[in-house]
Amino acid sequence: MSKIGKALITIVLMAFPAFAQPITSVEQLPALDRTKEDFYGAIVGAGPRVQVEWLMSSNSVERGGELILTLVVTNAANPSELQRPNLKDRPEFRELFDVIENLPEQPDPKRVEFRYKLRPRNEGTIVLPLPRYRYYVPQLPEGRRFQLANAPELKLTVTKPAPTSIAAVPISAPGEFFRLPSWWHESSANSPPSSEWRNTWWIAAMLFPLLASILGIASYRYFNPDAVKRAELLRRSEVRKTLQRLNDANDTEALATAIHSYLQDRWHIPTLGLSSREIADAFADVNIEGARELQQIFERCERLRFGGGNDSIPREDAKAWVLAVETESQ
Amino acid sequence: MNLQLLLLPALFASVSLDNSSDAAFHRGVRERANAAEARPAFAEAAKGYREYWHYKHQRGIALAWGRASYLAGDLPSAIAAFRFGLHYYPADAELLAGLRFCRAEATSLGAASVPPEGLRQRFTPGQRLAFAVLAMTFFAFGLLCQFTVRWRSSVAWMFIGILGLVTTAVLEWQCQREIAVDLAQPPCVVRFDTPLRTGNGESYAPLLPALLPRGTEARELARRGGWVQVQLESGEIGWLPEEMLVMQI
Repeated sequence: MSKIGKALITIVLMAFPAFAQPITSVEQLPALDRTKEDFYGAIVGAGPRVQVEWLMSSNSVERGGELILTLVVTNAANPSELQRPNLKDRPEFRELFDVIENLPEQPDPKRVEFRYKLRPRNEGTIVLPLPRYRYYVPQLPEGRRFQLANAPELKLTVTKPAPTSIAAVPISAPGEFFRLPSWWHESSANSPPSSEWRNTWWIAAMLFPLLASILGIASYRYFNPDAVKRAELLRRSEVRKTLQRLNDANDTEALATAIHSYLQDRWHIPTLGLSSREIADAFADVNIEGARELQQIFERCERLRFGGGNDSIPREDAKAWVLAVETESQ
Repeated sequence: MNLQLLLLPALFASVSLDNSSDAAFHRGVRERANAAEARPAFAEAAKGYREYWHYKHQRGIALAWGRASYLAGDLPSAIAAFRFGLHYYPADAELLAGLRFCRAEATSLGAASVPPEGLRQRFTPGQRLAFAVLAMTFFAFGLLCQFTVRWRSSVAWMFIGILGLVTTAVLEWQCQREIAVDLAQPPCVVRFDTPLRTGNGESYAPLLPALLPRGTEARELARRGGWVQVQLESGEIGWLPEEMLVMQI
Protein backbone atom coordinates (compact mmCIF):
# COMPACT_ATOMS: atom_id res chain seq x y z
CA MET A 1 0.00 0.00 0.00
CA SER A 2 1.30 3.37 -0.86
CA LYS A 3 2.01 6.09 1.71
CA ILE A 4 -0.93 8.07 0.41
CA GLY A 5 -3.28 5.12 0.96
CA LYS A 6 -2.12 4.67 4.57
CA ALA A 7 -2.62 8.35 5.30
CA LEU A 8 -6.14 8.27 3.88
CA ILE A 9 -7.11 5.31 6.09
CA THR A 10 -5.74 7.07 9.17
CA ILE A 11 -7.75 10.22 8.36
CA VAL A 12 -10.92 8.18 7.89
CA LEU A 13 -10.41 6.33 11.18
CA MET A 14 -9.80 9.60 13.01
CA ALA A 15 -12.92 11.16 11.55
CA PHE A 16 -15.09 8.08 12.05
CA PRO A 17 -13.64 6.14 15.00
CA ALA A 18 -16.59 3.73 14.97
CA PHE A 19 -14.99 2.09 11.97
CA ALA A 20 -11.86 1.22 14.00
CA GLN A 21 -11.49 -1.93 16.13
CA PRO A 22 -13.57 -1.32 19.32
CA ILE A 23 -11.48 -0.50 22.45
CA THR A 24 -12.56 -2.63 25.42
CA SER A 25 -9.36 -2.85 27.47
CA VAL A 26 -6.92 -0.45 29.06
CA GLU A 27 -4.16 -2.39 27.35
CA GLN A 28 -5.36 -0.99 24.01
CA LEU A 29 -4.91 2.61 25.13
CA PRO A 30 -1.78 4.62 24.43
CA ALA A 31 0.65 4.60 27.37
CA LEU A 32 0.11 8.30 28.10
CA ASP A 33 -3.65 7.85 28.35
CA ARG A 34 -3.33 5.02 30.81
CA THR A 35 -1.66 7.28 33.36
CA LYS A 36 -4.15 10.14 32.98
CA GLU A 37 -5.01 11.82 36.30
CA ASP A 38 -8.28 10.65 37.95
CA PHE A 39 -8.63 7.84 35.39
CA TYR A 40 -9.21 4.47 37.05
CA GLY A 41 -9.57 2.30 33.96
CA ALA A 42 -13.30 2.61 33.13
CA ILE A 43 -13.92 2.42 29.37
CA VAL A 44 -17.26 2.94 27.72
CA GLY A 45 -18.23 0.08 25.44
CA ALA A 46 -20.94 -0.24 22.79
CA GLY A 47 -23.67 0.14 25.40
CA PRO A 48 -24.67 3.10 27.58
CA ARG A 49 -22.28 5.55 29.24
CA VAL A 50 -20.40 4.70 32.45
CA GLN A 51 -22.32 5.67 35.60
CA VAL A 52 -20.44 6.59 38.78
CA GLU A 53 -22.12 6.90 42.13
CA TRP A 54 -20.85 7.43 45.69
CA LEU A 55 -23.02 6.03 48.49
CA MET A 56 -22.81 6.39 52.25
CA SER A 57 -24.12 3.90 54.75
CA SER A 58 -25.57 6.78 56.76
CA ASN A 59 -25.83 10.58 56.53
CA SER A 60 -25.09 10.96 60.19
CA VAL A 61 -22.53 9.34 62.41
CA GLU A 62 -21.11 9.88 65.90
CA ARG A 63 -17.56 11.05 66.30
CA GLY A 64 -15.50 7.92 66.75
CA GLY A 65 -18.16 5.88 64.95
CA GLU A 66 -17.67 4.11 61.65
CA LEU A 67 -19.08 4.71 58.22
CA ILE A 68 -19.06 2.70 54.99
CA LEU A 69 -18.50 4.70 51.80
CA THR A 70 -19.15 2.87 48.53
CA LEU A 71 -18.12 3.80 45.02
CA VAL A 72 -20.39 2.16 42.43
CA VAL A 73 -19.26 2.06 38.79
CA THR A 74 -21.71 0.61 36.25
CA ASN A 75 -21.69 0.02 32.50
CA ALA A 76 -17.92 -0.15 32.18
CA ALA A 77 -16.80 -2.32 29.25
CA ASN A 78 -13.91 -3.68 31.33
CA PRO A 79 -15.17 -4.22 34.93
CA SER A 80 -12.30 -6.52 35.81
CA GLU A 81 -9.75 -3.80 35.04
CA LEU A 82 -11.22 -1.06 37.22
CA GLN A 83 -8.88 0.27 39.87
CA ARG A 84 -9.78 1.37 43.36
CA PRO A 85 -9.24 5.08 44.05
CA ASN A 86 -6.94 5.16 47.06
CA LEU A 87 -8.47 7.49 49.64
CA LYS A 88 -5.51 7.05 51.97
CA ASP A 89 -3.34 8.92 49.46
CA ARG A 90 -5.56 12.01 49.51
CA PRO A 91 -4.52 14.53 52.18
CA GLU A 92 -7.88 16.35 52.06
CA PHE A 93 -9.58 13.06 52.87
CA ARG A 94 -7.11 12.04 55.56
CA GLU A 95 -7.69 15.37 57.27
CA LEU A 96 -11.35 14.59 57.77
CA PHE A 97 -11.37 10.82 58.04
CA ASP A 98 -9.40 7.98 59.40
CA VAL A 99 -9.52 5.40 56.61
CA ILE A 100 -9.62 2.20 58.60
CA GLU A 101 -9.62 -0.31 55.80
CA ASN A 102 -10.52 -1.01 52.20
CA LEU A 103 -13.28 -3.58 52.20
CA PRO A 104 -13.22 -6.34 49.57
CA GLU A 105 -14.84 -5.71 46.21
CA GLN A 106 -18.17 -7.20 45.23
CA PRO A 107 -17.70 -9.43 42.16
CA ASP A 108 -20.32 -8.43 39.58
CA PRO A 109 -19.73 -8.27 35.79
CA LYS A 110 -21.90 -5.16 35.29
CA ARG A 111 -21.53 -3.27 38.51
CA VAL A 112 -18.27 -2.77 40.39
CA GLU A 113 -18.34 -1.63 44.02
CA PHE A 114 -15.38 -0.35 45.98
CA ARG A 115 -16.11 -0.04 49.68
CA TYR A 116 -14.20 1.90 52.35
CA LYS A 117 -14.56 1.84 56.10
CA LEU A 118 -14.07 5.36 57.47
CA ARG A 119 -14.03 7.03 60.85
CA PRO A 120 -14.66 10.81 60.96
CA ARG A 121 -12.11 12.74 62.95
CA ASN A 122 -14.09 15.86 63.90
CA GLU A 123 -17.63 16.86 64.71
CA GLY A 124 -19.82 19.01 62.40
CA THR A 125 -21.34 18.87 58.93
CA ILE A 126 -18.88 18.17 56.17
CA VAL A 127 -18.99 17.77 52.41
CA LEU A 128 -17.06 14.72 51.43
CA PRO A 129 -14.04 15.65 49.27
CA LEU A 130 -14.73 12.85 46.83
CA PRO A 131 -12.10 12.20 44.20
CA ARG A 132 -12.97 13.04 40.60
CA TYR A 133 -13.66 10.06 38.38
CA ARG A 134 -12.81 10.07 34.66
CA TYR A 135 -13.79 7.42 32.22
CA TYR A 136 -12.69 6.82 28.66
CA VAL A 137 -15.03 7.09 25.65
CA PRO A 138 -13.21 5.71 22.60
CA GLN A 139 -16.04 6.73 20.25
CA LEU A 140 -15.39 10.45 20.79
CA PRO A 141 -12.76 12.35 18.83
CA GLU A 142 -9.26 12.77 20.21
CA GLY A 143 -9.03 15.31 23.03
CA ARG A 144 -12.57 14.72 24.27
CA ARG A 145 -12.34 11.05 25.08
CA PHE A 146 -11.79 11.48 28.85
CA GLN A 147 -15.12 12.47 30.38
CA LEU A 148 -15.69 13.45 34.00
CA ALA A 149 -18.40 11.48 35.79
CA ASN A 150 -21.14 13.47 37.45
CA ALA A 151 -21.32 12.42 41.04
CA PRO A 152 -23.60 14.36 43.39
CA GLU A 153 -21.86 15.78 46.44
CA LEU A 154 -22.32 14.00 49.74
CA LYS A 155 -22.91 15.73 53.07
CA LEU A 156 -22.23 14.04 56.35
CA THR A 157 -23.16 15.14 59.84
CA VAL A 158 -20.78 14.03 62.57
CA THR A 159 -22.43 14.27 65.95
CA LYS A 160 -21.04 14.36 69.45
CA PRO A 161 -20.67 10.86 70.86
CA ALA A 162 -23.38 9.97 73.35
CA PRO A 163 -22.00 9.85 76.87
CA THR A 164 -21.42 6.29 77.84
CA SER A 165 -21.33 5.15 81.41
CA ILE A 166 -18.23 2.98 81.54
CA ALA A 167 -17.94 1.12 84.80
CA ALA A 168 -14.70 1.83 86.62
CA VAL A 169 -12.40 -1.17 86.37
CA PRO A 170 -10.15 -1.75 89.37
CA ILE A 171 -6.47 -2.61 88.94
CA SER A 172 -5.85 -6.27 89.59
CA ALA A 173 -2.48 -7.10 91.15
CA PRO A 174 -1.09 -8.88 94.21
CA GLY A 175 -1.60 -6.93 97.43
CA GLU A 176 2.09 -6.26 98.03
CA PHE A 177 2.35 -4.45 94.68
CA PHE A 178 0.33 -1.60 96.16
CA ARG A 179 2.84 -1.10 98.98
CA LEU A 180 6.10 0.77 98.86
CA PRO A 181 8.85 -0.74 100.99
CA SER A 182 8.76 1.18 104.27
CA TRP A 183 12.53 0.96 104.72
CA TRP A 184 13.52 2.12 101.32
CA HIS A 185 14.49 5.67 102.24
CA GLU A 186 17.08 4.36 104.66
CA SER A 187 20.08 4.34 102.41
CA SER A 188 22.08 2.06 104.71
CA ALA A 189 19.54 -0.72 104.23
CA ASN A 190 19.62 -0.29 100.50
CA SER A 191 23.15 0.04 99.29
CA PRO A 192 24.55 -3.00 97.54
CA PRO A 193 27.16 -4.67 99.76
CA SER A 194 30.65 -3.74 98.62
CA SER A 195 32.80 -6.57 97.33
CA GLU A 196 35.60 -5.67 99.81
CA TRP A 197 33.32 -6.18 102.80
CA ARG A 198 31.94 -9.35 101.29
CA ASN A 199 35.41 -10.79 100.73
CA THR A 200 36.48 -9.86 104.27
CA TRP A 201 33.44 -11.68 105.68
CA TRP A 202 34.18 -14.74 103.60
CA ILE A 203 37.82 -14.90 104.63
CA ALA A 204 37.00 -14.34 108.31
CA ALA A 205 34.24 -16.95 108.32
CA MET A 206 36.38 -19.51 106.55
CA LEU A 207 39.48 -18.98 108.65
CA PHE A 208 37.67 -19.16 111.99
CA PRO A 209 37.12 -22.98 112.09
CA LEU A 210 40.62 -23.58 110.78
CA LEU A 211 42.23 -21.34 113.38
CA ALA A 212 40.04 -22.85 116.12
CA SER A 213 41.15 -26.31 115.04
CA ILE A 214 44.84 -25.37 115.06
CA LEU A 215 44.43 -23.75 118.47
CA GLY A 216 42.68 -26.90 119.74
CA ILE A 217 45.51 -29.12 118.51
CA ALA A 218 48.15 -26.91 120.08
CA SER A 219 46.42 -26.73 123.46
CA TYR A 220 45.70 -30.47 123.50
CA ARG A 221 49.32 -31.26 122.88
CA TYR A 222 50.44 -28.72 125.46
CA PHE A 223 48.29 -30.27 128.20
CA ASN A 224 48.91 -33.89 127.07
CA PRO A 225 52.57 -34.29 126.17
CA ASP A 226 52.17 -38.04 125.47
CA ALA A 227 48.92 -37.52 123.70
CA VAL A 228 50.27 -38.43 120.31
CA LYS A 229 51.65 -41.71 121.47
CA ARG A 230 48.49 -42.56 123.39
CA ALA A 231 46.36 -41.58 120.42
CA GLU A 232 48.36 -43.91 118.22
CA LEU A 233 47.69 -46.80 120.65
CA LEU A 234 43.99 -46.08 120.80
CA ARG A 235 43.48 -46.00 117.04
CA ARG A 236 42.25 -49.63 117.00
CA SER A 237 38.71 -50.21 118.14
CA GLU A 238 39.69 -53.62 119.63
CA VAL A 239 42.14 -51.89 121.96
CA ARG A 240 39.65 -49.24 123.01
CA LYS A 241 37.00 -51.91 123.58
CA THR A 242 39.37 -54.11 125.64
CA LEU A 243 40.47 -51.24 127.85
CA GLN A 244 36.85 -50.34 128.44
CA ARG A 245 35.99 -53.93 129.35
CA LEU A 246 38.98 -54.17 131.70
CA ASN A 247 37.84 -50.98 133.39
CA ASP A 248 34.35 -52.42 133.86
CA ALA A 249 35.53 -55.88 135.04
CA ASN A 250 34.43 -56.58 138.62
CA ASP A 251 35.73 -60.17 138.93
CA THR A 252 38.49 -62.33 137.52
CA GLU A 253 36.16 -64.11 135.10
CA ALA A 254 35.15 -60.86 133.38
CA LEU A 255 38.79 -59.80 133.30
CA ALA A 256 39.87 -63.09 131.71
CA THR A 257 37.03 -62.89 129.19
CA ALA A 258 38.14 -59.38 128.17
CA ILE A 259 41.71 -60.60 127.57
CA HIS A 260 40.44 -63.65 125.64
CA SER A 261 38.35 -61.39 123.37
CA TYR A 262 41.34 -59.12 122.83
CA LEU A 263 43.56 -62.04 121.80
CA GLN A 264 40.90 -63.39 119.45
CA ASP A 265 39.92 -60.09 117.84
CA ARG A 266 43.27 -58.35 117.70
CA TRP A 267 45.71 -61.24 117.21
CA HIS A 268 43.38 -63.98 115.92
CA ILE A 269 44.52 -66.48 118.60
CA PRO A 270 41.86 -69.10 119.37
CA THR A 271 41.65 -69.30 123.17
CA LEU A 272 38.67 -71.60 123.64
CA GLY A 273 39.50 -74.70 125.74
CA LEU A 274 43.17 -73.73 126.12
CA SER A 275 45.02 -73.44 129.40
CA SER A 276 46.79 -70.23 130.36
CA ARG A 277 50.14 -71.74 129.46
CA GLU A 278 48.93 -72.84 126.04
CA ILE A 279 47.51 -69.37 125.38
CA ALA A 280 50.81 -67.78 126.39
CA ASP A 281 52.64 -70.14 124.03
CA ALA A 282 50.28 -69.27 121.20
CA PHE A 283 50.85 -65.55 121.88
CA ALA A 284 54.61 -66.09 121.86
CA ASP A 285 54.26 -67.21 118.23
CA VAL A 286 53.11 -63.65 117.33
CA ASN A 287 56.70 -62.54 118.04
CA ILE A 288 55.74 -59.82 120.44
CA GLU A 289 57.14 -59.54 123.93
CA GLY A 290 54.68 -60.13 126.77
CA ALA A 291 53.83 -63.83 126.71
CA ARG A 292 55.31 -64.34 130.18
CA GLU A 293 53.40 -61.36 131.62
CA LEU A 294 50.23 -62.70 130.07
CA GLN A 295 50.72 -66.07 131.69
CA GLN A 296 51.31 -64.38 135.05
CA ILE A 297 48.08 -62.42 134.74
CA PHE A 298 46.13 -65.58 133.95
CA GLU A 299 47.75 -67.40 136.86
CA ARG A 300 46.87 -64.60 139.26
CA CYS A 301 43.30 -64.71 138.00
CA GLU A 302 43.13 -68.49 138.53
CA ARG A 303 44.60 -68.15 142.01
CA LEU A 304 42.04 -65.59 142.97
CA ARG A 305 39.26 -67.61 141.42
CA PHE A 306 40.04 -70.97 143.01
CA GLY A 307 42.24 -70.16 146.03
CA GLY A 308 40.78 -66.93 147.24
CA GLY A 309 43.05 -64.58 149.21
CA ASN A 310 43.45 -60.89 149.73
CA ASP A 311 44.97 -60.09 146.34
CA SER A 312 42.97 -57.62 144.21
CA ILE A 313 42.06 -58.43 140.61
CA PRO A 314 45.01 -57.55 138.30
CA ARG A 315 43.05 -54.90 136.33
CA GLU A 316 45.84 -52.33 136.13
CA ASP A 317 48.38 -54.98 135.19
CA ALA A 318 46.15 -56.23 132.41
CA LYS A 319 45.67 -52.66 131.03
CA ALA A 320 49.38 -52.01 131.21
CA TRP A 321 50.02 -55.32 129.42
CA VAL A 322 47.61 -54.40 126.59
CA LEU A 323 49.23 -50.98 126.14
CA ALA A 324 52.70 -52.54 126.27
CA VAL A 325 51.76 -55.06 123.60
CA GLU A 326 50.30 -52.30 121.38
CA THR A 327 53.40 -50.16 121.86
CA GLU A 328 55.53 -53.14 120.91
CA SER A 329 53.43 -53.81 117.82
CA GLN A 330 53.81 -50.20 116.48
CA MET B 1 33.92 21.16 101.67
CA ASN B 2 33.84 22.17 98.03
CA LEU B 3 32.88 18.67 97.01
CA GLN B 4 29.95 18.67 99.46
CA LEU B 5 28.73 21.95 98.02
CA LEU B 6 28.92 20.52 94.53
CA LEU B 7 26.90 17.47 95.55
CA LEU B 8 24.14 19.42 97.30
CA PRO B 9 22.02 20.16 94.17
CA ALA B 10 22.16 16.51 93.14
CA LEU B 11 21.08 15.48 96.63
CA PHE B 12 18.12 17.88 96.64
CA ALA B 13 17.12 16.79 93.14
CA SER B 14 17.09 13.14 94.14
CA VAL B 15 15.08 13.77 97.31
CA SER B 16 12.42 15.79 95.47
CA LEU B 17 12.34 13.18 92.71
CA ASP B 18 11.59 10.24 94.97
CA ASN B 19 9.18 12.29 97.10
CA SER B 20 7.11 13.27 94.06
CA SER B 21 7.25 9.69 92.80
CA ASP B 22 6.06 8.43 96.16
CA ALA B 23 3.22 10.95 96.10
CA ALA B 24 2.20 9.78 92.61
CA PHE B 25 2.38 6.17 93.74
CA HIS B 26 0.16 6.82 96.76
CA ARG B 27 -2.26 8.76 94.55
CA GLY B 28 -2.44 5.72 92.28
CA VAL B 29 -3.09 3.46 95.25
CA ARG B 30 -5.94 5.73 96.38
CA GLU B 31 -7.46 5.56 92.87
CA ARG B 32 -6.84 1.84 92.40
CA ALA B 33 -10.57 1.12 92.14
CA ASN B 34 -10.55 2.95 88.81
CA ALA B 35 -7.75 1.79 86.55
CA ALA B 36 -8.23 4.66 84.10
CA GLU B 37 -7.51 7.16 86.87
CA ALA B 38 -4.84 5.18 88.68
CA ARG B 39 -2.65 4.07 85.79
CA PRO B 40 -1.38 7.58 84.81
CA ALA B 41 -0.39 8.18 88.45
CA PHE B 42 1.50 4.89 88.59
CA ALA B 43 3.12 5.69 85.23
CA GLU B 44 4.34 9.03 86.62
CA ALA B 45 5.71 7.27 89.71
CA ALA B 46 7.41 4.62 87.58
CA LYS B 47 9.06 7.31 85.45
CA GLY B 48 10.46 8.97 88.56
CA TYR B 49 11.70 5.73 90.05
CA ARG B 50 13.37 4.80 86.77
CA GLU B 51 15.26 8.09 86.73
CA TYR B 52 16.20 7.66 90.37
CA TRP B 53 17.41 4.10 89.70
CA HIS B 54 19.91 5.43 87.18
CA TYR B 55 21.10 7.81 89.87
CA LYS B 56 21.34 5.24 92.65
CA HIS B 57 21.03 1.43 92.52
CA GLN B 58 18.99 0.85 95.66
CA ARG B 59 16.93 -2.25 96.28
CA GLY B 60 13.83 -0.30 97.26
CA ILE B 61 13.94 1.81 94.10
CA ALA B 62 14.06 -1.25 91.87
CA LEU B 63 11.16 -2.74 93.80
CA ALA B 64 9.12 0.46 93.68
CA TRP B 65 9.90 0.96 89.97
CA GLY B 66 8.88 -2.60 89.14
CA ARG B 67 5.65 -2.41 91.11
CA ALA B 68 4.70 1.02 89.77
CA SER B 69 5.42 -0.09 86.19
CA TYR B 70 3.26 -3.18 86.55
CA LEU B 71 0.41 -1.17 88.06
CA ALA B 72 0.77 1.36 85.23
CA GLY B 73 0.20 -1.48 82.78
CA ASP B 74 3.81 -1.47 81.56
CA LEU B 75 4.70 -5.14 82.01
CA PRO B 76 8.04 -5.05 80.09
CA SER B 77 9.36 -2.21 82.27
CA ALA B 78 8.26 -4.09 85.38
CA ILE B 79 10.18 -7.19 84.29
CA ALA B 80 13.22 -5.06 83.46
CA ALA B 81 13.09 -3.26 86.82
CA PHE B 82 12.95 -6.49 88.81
CA ARG B 83 15.75 -8.01 86.72
CA PHE B 84 18.00 -4.98 87.05
CA GLY B 85 17.37 -4.99 90.79
CA LEU B 86 18.21 -8.67 91.04
CA HIS B 87 21.56 -8.05 89.39
CA TYR B 88 22.61 -6.07 92.47
CA TYR B 89 20.50 -7.95 95.07
CA PRO B 90 20.47 -11.43 93.51
CA ALA B 91 18.48 -13.32 96.09
CA ASP B 92 16.12 -10.61 97.32
CA ALA B 93 12.84 -12.40 98.01
CA GLU B 94 10.57 -9.47 97.12
CA LEU B 95 12.30 -8.68 93.82
CA LEU B 96 12.27 -12.37 92.96
CA ALA B 97 8.57 -12.71 93.77
CA GLY B 98 7.79 -9.66 91.64
CA LEU B 99 9.81 -11.01 88.71
CA ARG B 100 8.18 -14.43 88.93
CA PHE B 101 4.71 -12.90 88.94
CA CYS B 102 5.44 -10.62 85.97
CA ARG B 103 7.09 -13.44 84.01
CA ALA B 104 4.04 -15.63 84.54
CA GLU B 105 1.88 -12.75 83.30
CA ALA B 106 4.11 -12.23 80.23
CA THR B 107 4.06 -15.95 79.42
CA SER B 108 0.29 -16.00 79.61
CA LEU B 109 0.27 -13.08 77.14
CA GLY B 110 2.42 -15.09 74.71
CA ALA B 111 5.96 -13.99 75.59
CA ALA B 112 8.68 -16.27 74.30
CA SER B 113 10.64 -18.64 76.55
CA VAL B 114 11.60 -17.25 79.92
CA PRO B 115 15.25 -17.50 81.01
CA PRO B 116 15.85 -19.89 83.91
CA GLU B 117 16.73 -18.49 87.30
CA GLY B 118 20.44 -18.52 88.00
CA LEU B 119 22.25 -20.01 90.97
CA ARG B 120 22.55 -16.53 92.42
CA GLN B 121 18.79 -16.44 92.74
CA ARG B 122 18.55 -19.93 94.23
CA PHE B 123 21.25 -19.54 96.88
CA THR B 124 21.61 -16.34 98.85
CA PRO B 125 25.15 -15.12 99.61
CA GLY B 126 24.41 -15.90 103.26
CA GLN B 127 23.46 -19.49 102.43
CA ARG B 128 26.58 -19.94 100.32
CA LEU B 129 28.73 -18.55 103.12
CA ALA B 130 27.02 -20.79 105.68
CA PHE B 131 27.63 -23.82 103.49
CA ALA B 132 31.28 -22.91 103.07
CA VAL B 133 31.75 -22.39 106.80
CA LEU B 134 30.05 -25.72 107.53
CA ALA B 135 32.35 -27.49 105.09
CA MET B 136 35.36 -25.77 106.61
CA THR B 137 34.15 -26.78 110.10
CA PHE B 138 33.97 -30.42 109.00
CA PHE B 139 37.47 -30.17 107.63
CA ALA B 140 38.78 -28.43 110.76
CA PHE B 141 37.12 -31.00 113.02
CA GLY B 142 38.70 -33.83 111.05
CA LEU B 143 42.04 -32.06 111.30
CA LEU B 144 41.62 -31.65 115.05
CA CYS B 145 40.80 -35.33 115.52
CA GLN B 146 43.65 -36.43 113.31
CA PHE B 147 46.27 -34.49 115.23
CA THR B 148 44.93 -35.15 118.73
CA VAL B 149 43.01 -38.38 119.41
CA ARG B 150 43.81 -39.91 115.98
CA TRP B 151 40.34 -41.20 115.26
CA ARG B 152 40.13 -43.25 112.17
CA SER B 153 36.98 -41.40 111.10
CA SER B 154 38.87 -38.10 111.18
CA VAL B 155 39.96 -38.72 107.59
CA ALA B 156 36.33 -39.14 106.59
CA TRP B 157 35.45 -35.82 108.27
CA MET B 158 38.25 -34.11 106.42
CA PHE B 159 37.16 -35.67 103.14
CA ILE B 160 33.56 -34.50 103.62
CA GLY B 161 34.90 -31.04 104.44
CA ILE B 162 37.07 -30.90 101.33
CA LEU B 163 34.15 -32.12 99.20
CA GLY B 164 31.99 -29.35 100.64
CA LEU B 165 34.68 -26.75 100.00
CA VAL B 166 35.08 -27.87 96.38
CA THR B 167 31.29 -27.72 95.90
CA THR B 168 31.25 -24.21 97.37
CA ALA B 169 34.07 -23.15 95.07
CA VAL B 170 32.21 -24.45 91.99
CA LEU B 171 29.01 -22.73 93.15
CA GLU B 172 30.83 -19.47 93.69
CA TRP B 173 32.58 -19.72 90.32
CA GLN B 174 29.23 -20.24 88.58
CA CYS B 175 27.75 -17.24 90.40
CA GLN B 176 30.68 -15.06 89.35
CA ARG B 177 30.20 -16.29 85.79
CA GLU B 178 26.54 -15.25 85.88
CA ILE B 179 27.60 -11.77 87.04
CA ALA B 180 30.13 -11.58 84.21
CA VAL B 181 27.50 -12.59 81.63
CA ASP B 182 25.09 -9.99 83.03
CA LEU B 183 27.75 -7.32 82.63
CA ALA B 184 28.93 -8.39 79.18
CA GLN B 185 25.45 -9.05 77.77
CA PRO B 186 23.01 -6.96 79.79
CA PRO B 187 19.41 -8.15 79.88
CA CYS B 188 16.72 -6.23 78.02
CA VAL B 189 12.97 -6.64 77.57
CA VAL B 190 10.85 -6.20 74.44
CA ARG B 191 8.52 -3.23 74.99
CA PHE B 192 6.04 -3.78 72.11
CA ASP B 193 5.21 -6.63 69.73
CA THR B 194 7.82 -6.22 67.04
CA PRO B 195 9.57 -8.30 64.35
CA LEU B 196 13.07 -9.57 65.08
CA ARG B 197 15.07 -8.66 61.97
CA THR B 198 18.17 -10.17 60.43
CA GLY B 199 19.90 -6.79 60.24
CA ASN B 200 19.86 -3.30 61.71
CA GLY B 201 17.22 -1.75 59.46
CA GLU B 202 13.59 -1.94 58.42
CA SER B 203 14.65 -3.28 55.03
CA TYR B 204 16.01 -6.50 56.55
CA ALA B 205 13.71 -9.51 56.54
CA PRO B 206 12.12 -10.72 59.79
CA LEU B 207 14.01 -13.60 61.37
CA LEU B 208 10.91 -15.23 62.85
CA PRO B 209 7.55 -15.77 61.18
CA ALA B 210 5.67 -14.12 64.06
CA LEU B 211 6.24 -10.84 65.89
CA LEU B 212 8.32 -11.00 69.04
CA PRO B 213 5.74 -10.55 71.82
CA ARG B 214 6.06 -7.78 74.42
CA GLY B 215 7.60 -8.92 77.65
CA THR B 216 10.07 -11.24 75.91
CA GLU B 217 13.46 -11.18 77.62
CA ALA B 218 16.70 -11.09 75.67
CA ARG B 219 20.36 -10.22 76.07
CA GLU B 220 21.97 -7.23 74.43
CA LEU B 221 24.98 -8.09 72.26
CA ALA B 222 25.69 -4.89 70.35
CA ARG B 223 24.26 -1.50 69.34
CA ARG B 224 24.48 0.14 65.94
CA GLY B 225 22.62 3.11 64.48
CA GLY B 226 19.67 3.06 66.83
CA TRP B 227 19.36 -0.71 66.59
CA VAL B 228 20.29 -3.35 69.14
CA GLN B 229 21.52 -6.84 68.38
CA VAL B 230 19.90 -9.22 70.83
CA GLN B 231 20.02 -12.91 71.62
CA LEU B 232 16.87 -14.68 72.72
CA GLU B 233 16.80 -17.42 75.31
CA SER B 234 16.18 -19.92 72.51
CA GLY B 235 19.46 -18.86 70.86
CA GLU B 236 18.23 -16.78 67.90
CA ILE B 237 20.26 -13.63 67.28
CA GLY B 238 18.59 -10.70 65.57
CA TRP B 239 18.13 -6.93 65.60
CA LEU B 240 15.49 -4.74 67.23
CA PRO B 241 15.04 -0.95 67.25
CA GLU B 242 16.28 0.66 70.47
CA GLU B 243 12.92 2.26 71.20
CA MET B 244 11.32 -1.19 71.24
CA LEU B 245 13.42 -2.30 74.22
CA VAL B 246 13.67 -1.52 77.90
CA MET B 247 17.40 -1.52 78.56
CA GLN B 248 19.83 -0.77 81.33
CA ILE B 249 21.44 2.58 80.57
